[in-house]
Amino acid sequence: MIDPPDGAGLLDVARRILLDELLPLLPSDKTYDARMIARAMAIAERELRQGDAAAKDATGLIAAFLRQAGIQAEPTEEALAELIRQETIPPRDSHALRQLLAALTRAKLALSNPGYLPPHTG
Amino acid sequence: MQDDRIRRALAEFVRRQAGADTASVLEFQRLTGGAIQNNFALTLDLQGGPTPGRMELVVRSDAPSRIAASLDRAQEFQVLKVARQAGVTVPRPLWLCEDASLTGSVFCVMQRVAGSASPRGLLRGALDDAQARALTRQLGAQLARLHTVRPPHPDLGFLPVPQDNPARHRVDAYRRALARIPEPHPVLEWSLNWLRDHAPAPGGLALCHGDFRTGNYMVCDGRLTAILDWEFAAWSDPCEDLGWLCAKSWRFGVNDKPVGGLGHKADLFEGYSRVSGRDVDPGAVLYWEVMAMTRWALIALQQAQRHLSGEQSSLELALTGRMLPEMEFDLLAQIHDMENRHD
Repeated sequence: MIDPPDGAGLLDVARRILLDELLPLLPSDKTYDARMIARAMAIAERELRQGDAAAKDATGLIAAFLRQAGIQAEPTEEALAELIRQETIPPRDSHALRQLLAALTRAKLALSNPGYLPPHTG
Repeated sequence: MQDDRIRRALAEFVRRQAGADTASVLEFQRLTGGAIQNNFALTLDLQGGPTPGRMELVVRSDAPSRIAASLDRAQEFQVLKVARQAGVTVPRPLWLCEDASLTGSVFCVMQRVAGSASPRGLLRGALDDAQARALTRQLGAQLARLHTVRPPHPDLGFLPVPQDNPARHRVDAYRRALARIPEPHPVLEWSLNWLRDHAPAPGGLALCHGDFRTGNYMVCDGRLTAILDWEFAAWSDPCEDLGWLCAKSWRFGVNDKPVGGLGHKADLFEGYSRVSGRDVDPGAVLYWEVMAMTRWALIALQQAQRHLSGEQSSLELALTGRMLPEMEFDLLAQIHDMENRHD
């Protein structure tokens, strides 16, 4: 058991100090670096908060697709990539495959850059 | 090699090439933005010889981390000369030095051109509407002139001529590049399948720039002054250059202007057709935009690999790898839009 705040909480407060207090003091040629650091911290924070659940969701989505398509394979992105490359997914499942790819991509965006998602799909 | 030794070696090289008695260095600085090359701005004052006076130059040299797919400086120098002969606005190529002992690498020297290539400056206020439209047309005209160069060409024997459909040729190369990335990317595997299945009929090969986008052309007072960065030139489908310029990857956030965040396709295509005498197939350009987005995603993965492999620890490269979902999202959306449009 760790003492609060947890890693995500620490990243959150550290990031706010970086952006609100340190960034205005930096020379202009260093602000880009500071913003990149803030971005990296935000991604790490979201991963700490939601990463495990997101990975489980992705596995669930892939497993459901494989079941529906009647394909025996591990529910992993590795296996999915290989199935697509080998074109082993029957054409009748191509619509479901696209939906799966879109859902997996939205889930990754929710961690890496949720602001990129159009409002209605977020 | 230390920059001051490079500076002295370059000044002496130019002095000899220009046939001058002396060459004093007025300005020498490393230019940013060269992950693949080292670029220097060099200003000299020449005394004696046929061209005395101030000389403003750019020196481009091979850097150690050259991407395998890119041309070396000697090849790029040839391409620059051929493009110039075809009427494309490029910096005047002056001299090539293939003796790497002078500065530590092969380099070429070009005339320095006025203006800026910075996308942010260009797309955020430097141009009024009329200038942006005229520039968009001009970009089309430039590409059409470049695409008049057809294989085989006596000075471009080092450029491989694709034997099959140029789109499928690209798909095969990108598939091999993707196979070298350790992490799985189902969306990119899928987009490569889509690109292979929807390859347009070959429209004839032409000399293509290969990286024709906002950020690689210089503008001064609203006018095009030079097209830069020719290291990805190749024989390919002319629509590849149009698609790369229009791909969402290169709009720098100005998404309502598909031509590099600068303008509209109608103007680009009009500028192109006026010179080429042929209509542009908008469907083929859309197809090559998907190719462009796939290629950019692969480049981003390769950049991230440079960080991950320990070759170059860099937060910027690391974060580029985390932009993949954005690129994959755009790819899926663009293919979806294209298919719904065709329905």
